[in-house]
Amino acid sequence: MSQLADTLARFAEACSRNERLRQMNHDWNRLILVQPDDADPHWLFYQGGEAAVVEEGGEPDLIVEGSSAVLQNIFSGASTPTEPYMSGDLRVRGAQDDVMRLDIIALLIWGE
Amino acid sequence: MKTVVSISLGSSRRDHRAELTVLGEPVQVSRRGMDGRLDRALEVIHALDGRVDALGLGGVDRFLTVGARRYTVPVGEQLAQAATATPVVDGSGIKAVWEPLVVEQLAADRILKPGQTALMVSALDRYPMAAALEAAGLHLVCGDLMFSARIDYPIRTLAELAELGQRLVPEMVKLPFQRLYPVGSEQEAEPDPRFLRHFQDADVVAGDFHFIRRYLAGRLDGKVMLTTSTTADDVEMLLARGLATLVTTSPRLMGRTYGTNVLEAALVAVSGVRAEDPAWGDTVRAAGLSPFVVRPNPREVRA
Repeated sequence: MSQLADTLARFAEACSRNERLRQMNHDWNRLILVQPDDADPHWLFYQGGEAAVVEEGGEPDLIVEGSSAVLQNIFSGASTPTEPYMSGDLRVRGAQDDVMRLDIIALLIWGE
Repeated sequence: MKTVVSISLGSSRRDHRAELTVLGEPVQVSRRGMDGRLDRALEVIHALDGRVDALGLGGVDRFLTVGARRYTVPVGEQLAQAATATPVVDGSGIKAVWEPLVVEQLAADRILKPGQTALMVSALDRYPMAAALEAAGLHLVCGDLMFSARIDYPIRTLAELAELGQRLVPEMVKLPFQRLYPVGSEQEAEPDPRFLRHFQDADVVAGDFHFIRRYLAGRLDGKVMLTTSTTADDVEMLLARGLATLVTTSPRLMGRTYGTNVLEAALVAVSGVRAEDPAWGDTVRAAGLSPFVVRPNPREVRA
């Protein structure tokens, strides 16, 4: 398993364990494609307040793109998504509300 | 006569001009909506710098205060820095001192009662009002995540609001302001009904009127609303939906009530005292401000 795959698995597990995030995301069912510029893609799936890494998906609701290092930093909590997003090092495509929700999840999940 | 101008990132269709009396002195006030255009707002502020006595910022905050912490909002700061001679205020000085006093008075008058549920559409930009409502014994439901991010998660205590604010605000203020607050034509969009049940469950609806209007889809029978910046059409619309009591924290002039930034700009223009000065609290309390209260059947107006 790659380092990013391992980080995403821990991110999904932390989301699912976090009661507040489970409540916030109870009605948020989304498929997220995490696409490193320099490696194979990964898929995150949110449903009923729980998150999981899945093997493959269909049409994604959100696409998160960047270098493996940037994605690794964001999903591990080493850095916040805002600055790489504003600088263009992180690219997120999807509905604006979904993009903001993913920002908020990333900001809330680490340090609780 | 002193002159103040409010530069709002909101719709220009709400522009107006009037005369206020503050500390016994008349002040000419006007609002100029920029329809969401930041570049235009910067140009206008630059053009008015040194030509008016104070400038207000509408539709964007310069500072957000959450508990003991104050966060600078980069866009608001950028706008404020566009003026070098004229003071620029965002209304946070009025929110910090005057709005809690209004809540205390409404509680003393039994318009607000312990045990009521108060929906604050956005509490992070009005933390002192939220704190005053909680201190008056009301149950808070803060809608910051609902109305700014469309996340159906009501925040039910001041402590959780502060905790979430400390985690989210330092990053969220870096995002484009249009993602967090309705500006330009968004202020005139049809109401979004997705959080209707929180309005239905509330006894009191409080906070920024643009957020309220953006999500206000149902009836308001028997409810109290505590807000600012309403026009005569807004008041008619609220009463037609059955609102029992409308309280605006600013006085009504020529059919409309003004935003906190307008009041603060007028007060700064007349007194020369700014919100960061130790004398600010006394200046606000001495200003003779009064809330505007409307109660239909019969409509009782107290100004």
